[in-house]
Amino acid sequence: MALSSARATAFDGRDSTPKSRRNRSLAWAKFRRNRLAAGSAVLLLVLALMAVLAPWVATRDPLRIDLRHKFAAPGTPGFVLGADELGRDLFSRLLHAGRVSLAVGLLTALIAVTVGSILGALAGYYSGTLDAVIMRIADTLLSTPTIFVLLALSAFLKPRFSTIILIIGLNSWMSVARLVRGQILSIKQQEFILAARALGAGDRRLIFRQLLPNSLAPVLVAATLNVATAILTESSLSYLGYGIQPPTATWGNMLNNAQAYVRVAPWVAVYPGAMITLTVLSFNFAGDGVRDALDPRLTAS
Amino acid sequence: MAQRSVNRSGRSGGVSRRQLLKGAVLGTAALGSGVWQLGQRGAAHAASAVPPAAVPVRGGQIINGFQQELQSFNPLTATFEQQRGIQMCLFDALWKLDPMGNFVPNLAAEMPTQANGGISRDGTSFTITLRRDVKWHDGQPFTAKDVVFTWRTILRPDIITSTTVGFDQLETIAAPDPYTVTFKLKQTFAPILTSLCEMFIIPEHILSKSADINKDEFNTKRPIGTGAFKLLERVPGDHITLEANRAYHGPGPYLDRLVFKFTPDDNVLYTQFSTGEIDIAGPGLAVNLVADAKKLPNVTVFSAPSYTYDAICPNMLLPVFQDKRVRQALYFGMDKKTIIDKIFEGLMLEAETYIPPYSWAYNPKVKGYHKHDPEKSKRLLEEAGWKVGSDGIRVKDGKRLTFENSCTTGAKQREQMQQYLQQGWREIGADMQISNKPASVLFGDFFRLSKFESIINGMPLSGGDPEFSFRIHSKYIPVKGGNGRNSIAYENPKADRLVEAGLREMNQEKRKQIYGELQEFLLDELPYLPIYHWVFYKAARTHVQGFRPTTLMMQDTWNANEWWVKKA
Repeated sequence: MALSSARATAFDGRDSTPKSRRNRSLAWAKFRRNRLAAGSAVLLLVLALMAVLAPWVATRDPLRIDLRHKFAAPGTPGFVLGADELGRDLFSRLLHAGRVSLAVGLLTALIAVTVGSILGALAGYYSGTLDAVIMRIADTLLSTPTIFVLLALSAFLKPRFSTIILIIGLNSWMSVARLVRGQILSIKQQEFILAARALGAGDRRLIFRQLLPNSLAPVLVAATLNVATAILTESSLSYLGYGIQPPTATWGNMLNNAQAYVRVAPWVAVYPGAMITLTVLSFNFAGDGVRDALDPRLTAS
Repeated sequence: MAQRSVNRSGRSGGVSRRQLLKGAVLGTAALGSGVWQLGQRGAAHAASAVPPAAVPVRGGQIINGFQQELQSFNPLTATFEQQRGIQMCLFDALWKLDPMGNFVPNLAAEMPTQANGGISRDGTSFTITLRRDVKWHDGQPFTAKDVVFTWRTILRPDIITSTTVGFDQLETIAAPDPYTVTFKLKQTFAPILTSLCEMFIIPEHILSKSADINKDEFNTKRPIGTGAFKLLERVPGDHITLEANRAYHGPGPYLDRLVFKFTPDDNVLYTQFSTGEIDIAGPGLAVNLVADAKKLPNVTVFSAPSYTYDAICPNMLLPVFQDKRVRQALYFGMDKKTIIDKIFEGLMLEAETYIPPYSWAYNPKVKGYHKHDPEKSKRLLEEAGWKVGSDGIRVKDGKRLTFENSCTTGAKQREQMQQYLQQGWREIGADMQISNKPASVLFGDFFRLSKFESIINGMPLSGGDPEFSFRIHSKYIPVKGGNGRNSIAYENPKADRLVEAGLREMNQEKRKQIYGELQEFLLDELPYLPIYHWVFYKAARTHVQGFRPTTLMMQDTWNANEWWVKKA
């Protein structure tokens, strides 16, 4: 069993922990030391927690329209962050919108990474025609402006949470695929792969147990960037009317609706804008931190 | 991670790149603010100068900002109001309406009347004398066969037109000589002269040779009309530039160029207007911007109560809307007063019927019919067999009382109204789902061919005439083969009878009775749920002259040939 679980474990003279585990704890320590990345990760955790706990934290109904309180200023009793153009509580809407926006971001990244990794691995491992076909499809999608692809798909699918995640995800797998393919092309000739193959490992085992796990680093970074882009893409879709339909709030459509009132009630735009910025930046910094932490050149060898 | 930036210059005593950049930025800022100051002083100077006499001056250009982009130049095609505004610059009709409601001959040499023999005693035969000095943009002479061709094309069943009402009353039409058109109607049609204001003439010598008029390049790239302006340039998604037709037969045009810039977002359009990038802000300024616009310097804000009204349009092909008690319940569940006061800043006029109170045909008995009464709504729905289900939504025969509503994306106030209506209707047990679309999609086949469930639509009365058959008569349902705008697929024999009678009656007093009865009937039937009459606000820079918005139509370009630019 130990022999065919072909991870490259090597014992060196220093201690008896397997090198992989030591590398992992080194990576973790490195990540923690990077204050920006660690801070961003904490912030993201807080955001995620607030999003999950939204219905309990914000007790006011985010959909309740109360025109008498249109544009209530922040601090008005009952409206801690103020109210929007229809008198809805902004604090509540912000939190509930966070659920949607974060969910869109994370699920989209999940789809993009999964589809991208598998297709990229297949392309990189098998090369030849399969590689050409997959990469040409990726090229075509990459060269078409995103908005056009999204609009074309939106014309067929009704805009809803599930279809939007699908649409954006299916338009984001290409860069992940390219990354994974590149990684695999560079790893697949290495000795530990030849060793595993000599031990009788089949294609599927090689791809899923050896090649993909070792390509994780750039994929993780790409995933974090994907989350950021997905959140922004959702707001562009909302702008065109093909995003999450009203009255459901997302940070994107809140920002969109607030544009018209920037002169009258600027705070309505500031909150969702700040949330989007914070989230996107945090994902980017955390992604950078992950990449640095996993950089093989910086681990002990 | 970022590396520390290395100072590349390295030279001692030299100016580093960073210093150079800093200097350049500061220098430009200083220069810019200096120029800006001069400009301000100049403007102030101009404002205090003695205004010149209002004689139109040749030259210059005006940039008009529109929200909805034109899809087709062809004036025959199914159109939305903003598209018509541009078509009116390129094409002419036999006559037009001035703001007072008087007819002004355009391609016709004079208005046909019974006195001059242009209209027969029984009102069915017409003889029109045309001007002889009109040329198409390509230099060909305009003649009677163009008029005959236009009318005949409208009636062709394979041509998609916005409406055939009135035009389908044609029995015969002929061009006995190049400058005379004679036509006979099957029966009297009271608003025929008003309808003909909307028949913009298309060139027979070009389109008779077209393989498919619906798809011809004439519609998108090469329109040829007789209008005051011709197409100079079109950049899809951005703007359309028209240039003056110096061979125009009418007064003007004084401008060299007329540009229509498309910005779907109200706020961006307004920002462009307030910075002076565009000279006229759209045919309709968003209500949340009106107060702000009034404070801008060198800007005039016009308000024009109109004959256009917004209504909820339920699709009668949907079983849920077929019971009029459901429609009535929805109507009484609408808090129109709050919508107008809070969402539209009190700037619109509440509507009970499709005819506004300032029309001669208005029936004062409709006033006060609607009150926001959710209890009444609930009673009506209970009566109709809709019982409240477990989730608060009413159910009947296993079906939930649920439907979709669509409006144009980017129309902020309509979107807000939608959400407020959704909340109100939920309280009476109706579940409305929102599914909005951009204008070009909404008003395409989605609306025309009755693919929607319900939409919010703004409907104008052409020329202020109470004629309404193209919206409710059973023979004008496109999805059933008609060519009109009864896309809600409403079919009611009494409504048919009333609108037909209104068309036959030439005597205005008697017509008023008929339309009065129609208004009361529609209050009970509610094929459309009226919300408000539009008051259109327009803003133009003070150097724009000749700009005269009218109540009779949403378009301001009806007299674009008389617009001119006052030089500072």
